[in-house]
Amino acid sequence: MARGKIVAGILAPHPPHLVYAEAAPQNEVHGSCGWESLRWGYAACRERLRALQAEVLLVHSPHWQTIVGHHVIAVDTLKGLAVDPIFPHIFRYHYEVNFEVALAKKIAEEARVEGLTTALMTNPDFCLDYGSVTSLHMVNPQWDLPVVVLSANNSPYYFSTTKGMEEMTKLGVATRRAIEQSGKRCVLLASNSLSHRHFTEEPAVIEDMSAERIYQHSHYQWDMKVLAMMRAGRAQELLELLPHYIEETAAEVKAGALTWMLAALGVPTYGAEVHGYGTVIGTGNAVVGWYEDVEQGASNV
Amino acid sequence: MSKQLITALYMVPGLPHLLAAEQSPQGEELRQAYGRVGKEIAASEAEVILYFSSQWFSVLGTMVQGRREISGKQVDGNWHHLGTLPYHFIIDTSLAELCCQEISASGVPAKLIDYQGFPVDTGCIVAQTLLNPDARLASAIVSFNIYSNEAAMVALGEACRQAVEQHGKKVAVVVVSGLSQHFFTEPMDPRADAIYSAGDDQWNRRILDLMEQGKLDEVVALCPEFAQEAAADLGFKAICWLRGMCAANPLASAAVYSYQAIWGTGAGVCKFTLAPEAQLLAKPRELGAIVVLDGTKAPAPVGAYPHARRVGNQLFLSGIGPRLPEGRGIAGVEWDEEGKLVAYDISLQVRQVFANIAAILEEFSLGLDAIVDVQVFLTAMKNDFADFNRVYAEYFDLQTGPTRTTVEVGALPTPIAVEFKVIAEIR
Ligand SMILES: [Fe+2]
Repeated sequence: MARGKIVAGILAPHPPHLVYAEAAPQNEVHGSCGWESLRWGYAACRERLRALQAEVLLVHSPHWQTIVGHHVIAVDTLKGLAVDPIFPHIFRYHYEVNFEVALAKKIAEEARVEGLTTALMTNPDFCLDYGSVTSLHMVNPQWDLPVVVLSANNSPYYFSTTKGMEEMTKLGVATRRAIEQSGKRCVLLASNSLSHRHFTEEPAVIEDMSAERIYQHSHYQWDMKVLAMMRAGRAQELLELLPHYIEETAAEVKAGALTWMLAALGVPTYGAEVHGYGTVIGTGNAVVGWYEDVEQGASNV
Repeated sequence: MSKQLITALYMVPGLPHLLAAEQSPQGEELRQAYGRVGKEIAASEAEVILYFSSQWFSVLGTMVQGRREISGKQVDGNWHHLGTLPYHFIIDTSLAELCCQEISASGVPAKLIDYQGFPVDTGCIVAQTLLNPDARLASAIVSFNIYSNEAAMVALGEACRQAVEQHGKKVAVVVVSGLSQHFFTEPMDPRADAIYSAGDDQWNRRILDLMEQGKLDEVVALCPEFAQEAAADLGFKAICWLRGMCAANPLASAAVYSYQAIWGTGAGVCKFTLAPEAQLLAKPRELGAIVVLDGTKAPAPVGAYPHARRVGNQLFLSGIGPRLPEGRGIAGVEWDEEGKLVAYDISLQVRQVFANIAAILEEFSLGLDAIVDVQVFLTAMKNDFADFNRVYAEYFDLQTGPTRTTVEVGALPTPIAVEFKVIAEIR
């Protein structure tokens, strides 16, 4: 069996507004337009991924939070309706998804080697969280690839951002090792927004883009600073800055997906491609890809 | 006088461990306390359970469940190994609409939600399963905005209380919230469950003690510290909502039915009872508000009247004499062996009248200087006027004092020699 590899890592935020604006057939509600910079960013990302012939998508979402350890879904398939508890008027999505259970179990096993507590989610009635659903839809709306879904352990909130980052780093390293043993070509999806302060009211017409803007200027400045580091291949520096960034912008990356992905990618020194940046109800979001074709020995692992 | 529509308020824990088939002794005790609450609600006149859970938050304003019938099954994200939780609620949609209306009127946009598959939070499912499993009673469920501070939570509770009053049906209020919220982060044997740390345990006991003494305002004031030091569930802001629910009513009693650990966190089952209808007080300082002081502060009324009633910025006090608080008789009187009044000291009586009036005004944060008019009733003008007039001048002067009218009357309702009838201004 050939060695498995991570062919791309994508910062894949999950505002349900994107699925709504795409008028996805799986969603019960269809918008007409809106948030194009992000949606077209996702389109460009899909284009890149097609060429990479990915076999498995792995997603780490902050909306499946766990307290006792890091969990992975270990059932063959889930089918259901995901309703966003925050934006139920725009996101009621019918999904059907197959899981790459062998890889999921391998990740849990490797994570235990790293000293993490893990658990397998085997309840067939489980409802996939709307964050995972949105990121997976935006990257692969046909749902024709098996997936691995990892929970976001609560450690950044219960203990501290730094303690959380330590755990996510170990989880990333374990994920990479498991992927290498799996023989699969994998794409990692870090399902996180950047700055994360919402407006608490929305316009009468949800997709009215005249109302869409960043919550505050300093959040925008911080988001740009972080994106510049991603583009410049300064992942290590970015990780060091992350606690400060989170403190200043309530960034959703606190939940750990970005840290997990960057660790799995071996803390890349090659530049990432920013496919798009845009705000959603005040929060900052970017679709950003780290691709194997630019890696070419540039990783420091 | 408004009717007491809240039969009781409860705080209960919302972790799904309580629904597991096998229970630890700790869990068993909590379930028994839950059972007691369920029986009380069933035996009460409550027609609706109003739920408020620390686990259901919104980002856009506030949401209120508006779907007539909600049923389905839920698997908790963290505790999925405990199994699938079926749930069933019948929603009192007219109460839900009123909640929406009142919350919106308080300045927070509120939405009725009616979606198949909308995720009901684990806390409400646990409470409903243990309190009202066959949905015999209708429910209402209200969310909170994630950015709400303590004051906003109190305001949200007040808006929900207004909705209950307009609705007119008897309601049991159930707040689903834990206490300290440090979980053990490793797998563990539930039989070895204990509060995460001694510090957390102390905090929980301090909070429960205050609740038992009915000192909800102190609990509300401690929320940020409780959150900081013991990771209180949602900063314990659910209790702020409960405070808002009973803002206008004095608590008649509060009791802790159980306090135990669930996976390291503090879990308490508590009951709060409001004063019964006959003693129900509207909120002081509101238009038309009345106040009846408890008997330790001013002598109890001798008939069916309050100590004071506010109308606009005027405060009307009922006639008040020199009786002592707590039923301890009358100031400045001497009795013979047969219990007949033999002498009284009018100066002491006048001073006691002033003390009683001051106690009532204080309930409205007012002093004697707020008085704008006084009518004085004396039973013996000829003998007592001079002394009364001298003592009175110790309290008021010609330039700043209230207007005054003094008359002699044949008798007063108890063997007192003087009574004042006062009107004050609220500035
Ligand atoms: Fe999110």
